Amino acid sequence: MSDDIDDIGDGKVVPDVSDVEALLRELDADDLRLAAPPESVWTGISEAIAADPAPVVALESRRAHRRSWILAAAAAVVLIVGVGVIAIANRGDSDAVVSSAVLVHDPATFDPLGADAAATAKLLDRDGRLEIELTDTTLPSLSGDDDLELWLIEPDSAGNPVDIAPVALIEASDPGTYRVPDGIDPSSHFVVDISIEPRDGDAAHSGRSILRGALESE
Amino acid sequence: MGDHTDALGAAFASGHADLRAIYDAHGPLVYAICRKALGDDGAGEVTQDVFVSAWRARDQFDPARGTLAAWLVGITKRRIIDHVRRERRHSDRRADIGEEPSTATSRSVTEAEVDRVADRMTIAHALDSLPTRPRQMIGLAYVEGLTHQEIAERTGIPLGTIKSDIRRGLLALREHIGGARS
Repeated sequence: MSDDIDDIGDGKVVPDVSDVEALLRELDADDLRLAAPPESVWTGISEAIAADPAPVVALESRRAHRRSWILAAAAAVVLIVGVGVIAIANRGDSDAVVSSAVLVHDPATFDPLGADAAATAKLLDRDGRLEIELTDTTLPSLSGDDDLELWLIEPDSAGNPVDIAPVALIEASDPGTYRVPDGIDPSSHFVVDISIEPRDGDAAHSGRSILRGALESE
Repeated sequence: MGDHTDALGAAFASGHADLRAIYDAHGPLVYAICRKALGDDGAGEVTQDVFVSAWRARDQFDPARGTLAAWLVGITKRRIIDHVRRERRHSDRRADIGEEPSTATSRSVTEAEVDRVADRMTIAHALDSLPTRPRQMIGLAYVEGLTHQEIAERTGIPLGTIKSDIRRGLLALREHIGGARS
């Protein structure tokens, strides 16, 4: 086939076509039958999002909802100026914050790539679904060979790690919110850690922490 | 992909799309990647995580930086690796306390394998969006491994038309997978 494909593009150099061809040759008949996920998946998505402060509706509706918040708040408090009200309306889930931690860099023991890093971690309870939200983040941009990873650590009474549980890889540009894995209890694993993890296939903590802090109740 | 999914991406970015439409358009691709990488056991759970994460982070999606499909595939790859690490960790815990490993544990998969699976499923998904004839020609040529001459003999379609269809199809697929890697 490749002889027939060389003239693709009428003589132009099209380097990626060989990649496409290689991928196509890897496909089998099963690959071509992309099935919809089981309906239970959508049910789970709907339930998870229904527990969010923002419902699954188009933005216009959300904006209308925010406006109603703003009007109600303004009526009750007499006058609250825009920015603060919008912040309240956007936040909306302050009751769900169980605990929080200001994550700090320890220059004596942490990886120097995180010297300027900073973040706040909040443990959220969304109808029983525990999540870690990272806010106010300044995280280092890494090379393509490394990732940032979020961990929950169970310390002993002396502060030494007893257990280190992985939570999720972190997008430095989009830290976001991460579900606490099933089986991990943040009341025991209450130390939040962010580390640099090389893409070496080793799932264990690299030892290259950049930020850490202990969750404390609000 | 086609105009429909482009429009969905633009709507998603501006907050005007409902999640069900996004899910209907891209759920099969996300689920296929998860299923190929993890098997049936973890595929549903991770697919669910991907769309919940995407919805919550929808303000971060920028159509100028890539397609919605590409963005979702990126989230999917990260969630698969998260899942594998979590499963491995749980398996280690069970081993530490002398329990048998769970038979439901997803198989191990490397990041490179996840990338490859994502590329394969992305191109399978893209292939599905091509017009019927180029899709059939490319399927016969690359999945079934027929030569252009054999395709002509089987289908009765002129050789030049077959070459033209395959050429256009490959260029469309290349454009798509380029977007998916962005």
